[in-house]
Amino acid sequence: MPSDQEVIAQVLAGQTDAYALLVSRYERLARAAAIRIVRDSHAADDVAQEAFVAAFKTLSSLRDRSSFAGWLLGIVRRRAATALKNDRRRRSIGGDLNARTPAAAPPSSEMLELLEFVEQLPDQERVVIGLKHFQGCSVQEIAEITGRPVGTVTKQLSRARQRLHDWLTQEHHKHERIQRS
Amino acid sequence: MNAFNDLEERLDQLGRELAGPPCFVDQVMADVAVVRRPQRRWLRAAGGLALAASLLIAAAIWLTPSPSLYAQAIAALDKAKTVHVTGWTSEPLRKWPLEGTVRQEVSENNVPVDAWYWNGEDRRPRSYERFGPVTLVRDGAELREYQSDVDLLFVSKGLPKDYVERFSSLSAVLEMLRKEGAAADELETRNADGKTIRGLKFARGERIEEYWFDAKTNLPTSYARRRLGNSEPKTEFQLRFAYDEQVPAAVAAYRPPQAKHVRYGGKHDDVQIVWKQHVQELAQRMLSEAKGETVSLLPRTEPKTFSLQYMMRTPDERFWVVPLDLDQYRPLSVKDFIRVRVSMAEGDHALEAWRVQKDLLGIEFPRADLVCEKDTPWQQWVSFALKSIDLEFVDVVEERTYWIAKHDGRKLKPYQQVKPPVPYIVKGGKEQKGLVKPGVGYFLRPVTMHELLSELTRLQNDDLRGRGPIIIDETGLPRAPRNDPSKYSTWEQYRAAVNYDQYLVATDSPYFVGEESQALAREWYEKEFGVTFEQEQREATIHVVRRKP
Repeated sequence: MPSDQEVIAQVLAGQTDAYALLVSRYERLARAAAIRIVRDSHAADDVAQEAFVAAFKTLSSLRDRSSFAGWLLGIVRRRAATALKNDRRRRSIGGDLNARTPAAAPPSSEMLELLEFVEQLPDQERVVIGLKHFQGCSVQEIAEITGRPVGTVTKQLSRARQRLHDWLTQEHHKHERIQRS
Repeated sequence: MNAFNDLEERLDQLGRELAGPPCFVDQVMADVAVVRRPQRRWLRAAGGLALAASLLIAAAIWLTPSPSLYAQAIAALDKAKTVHVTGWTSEPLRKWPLEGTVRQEVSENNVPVDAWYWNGEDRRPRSYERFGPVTLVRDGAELREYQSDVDLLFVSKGLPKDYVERFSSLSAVLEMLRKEGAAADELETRNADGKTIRGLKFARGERIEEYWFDAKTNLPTSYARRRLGNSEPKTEFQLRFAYDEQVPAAVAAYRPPQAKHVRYGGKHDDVQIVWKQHVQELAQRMLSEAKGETVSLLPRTEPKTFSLQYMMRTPDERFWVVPLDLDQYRPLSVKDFIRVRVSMAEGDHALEAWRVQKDLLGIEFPRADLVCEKDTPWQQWVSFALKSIDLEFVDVVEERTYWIAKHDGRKLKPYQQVKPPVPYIVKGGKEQKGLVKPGVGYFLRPVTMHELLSELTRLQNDDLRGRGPIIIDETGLPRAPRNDPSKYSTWEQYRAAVNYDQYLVATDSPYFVGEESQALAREWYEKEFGVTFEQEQREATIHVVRRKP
């Protein structure tokens, strides 16, 4: 499986169809980053789509090609924030008249909670979690995609899971305390 | 299952929930294909696609018989560093076109055209277009148009990528015209300025357009548009194209001067502020000019038009302002008045309760604002507005067809599984959400049963004939409580408080317009929800708009 760096080199050499591989690798991770901000699955699709196209346009400016995923997610977040701002403005413009046009469905609250925590992971850990659990890649495949040794990927996955577990446990205890009080 | 297994299961589940549309990769790659085509630079450079130049290029896409010739033309354009357009027109274009009578005055005379398209710093598309008294400059997303004859500056903001979309839509229009049978003829090759040029003539109704290309480079060289009238054909546009000329320093440095009047449009943030300021002024005018009146019609003084305007209360909450105007391009017709200004609310003046004679639908209101005290009955202000154009409405009671919606009691599917009967229109591998034909989703968001039935009623009565079915919801399906703005300041608050998602029943609302959609609608409702419509005749009050006797 070609690494992200290799795919980017192909794309920049004119084999633009190879970009589809990057899109399929990171589409769910991109959607996750967008949905956490815009809270609307349709809007998240649009944001993710725009972000991939924007990333394609400026791909040649990416200095560290091994950090494509982190760079892409930065674009997603900025675009999502803009989309959210525009959406709020549109609603405030509409006022009473648009009261009957709600946005699309939000993700479930459980999903959002977990997404919040995934988004708080360091970039590299978030990417390996996304590739493993959102895209269904094996550790070997993640190692090939990211160009890192298998052992490093295993450690990053392990650390990420530990962090997520700890955060979820803390959150659970917090809820329990609130309910008791 | 230990805690980590549970976490892994949740992450896998999250991954499944994050799955997007199956064609997501294709959609992105379709957009990427547009970006990577060589015409990109030209398209971005040709920010002034409002100009006839855009028509010429768009037409070239369609008219050029060989795709390879088109590719050559595009490749040549891609290499061009600048495009310079000169000539004249009898129809100077204005982005803000409706200030006073100026447009009418100048339209009788030909005005010179001088336009430049190039890329600025950071490859930002820039353009300068001068049509007689109108000078329009674009710098990336910013647009500024100065109209020297009325000392007016129009400021607008958009997205540079919109140019591509606008370009695509122009091509789509031309393609549609071709399907409708508009004629295109290849003209005889000839020599001009030492070049061999070949032409194409395109006739549509009374309009004839001629496009000329350099036979060697395939670059566009000139464009002319004539209109056939009762007398001699009148030329409306005559343009010539030149490439790679040095953009004059004065053109590149041009900035519109300070103007007496400033208007805002597009995505510019100030659009809303401008409208609110106007509403505030109307409140003062109502107190000073229309003392004691419950309802008054206040003409636009300058005259002023707005790209964003909507019904709203004055800041002192004393009056409602109803703009008798649609946007800066179009006045408000009777049809739009009923659809947009009057029948927004449900109840006794909902859309289905209106009937307007066909010949009255297009009558336009003079641009003005209707201002009325906040508790004025709708009948009073609607009558007042109609009276201003010599119309009135009268109520008649007659038999109407009602559809009584019943539910067979089945458990509804999760809304994500219920899609409109006809998929979104796909062009170039991308779903064209917003383009509609019967049965296609057009709300572009999930909907409740109440919304579905309300929209079905509205679409069935959108022609204002007052003869479509009136739908009564007797499904017994739960309905979301009303959004009370005094309790919830945002839609999100309301949505969370009432758990709005539990009321959603479908991913989108299908476009069931006109009688021809009725069979499809009935079939879809029954199949997806177990909802059927029992037809009944009942008496109903119809508000009939007619000329005043």
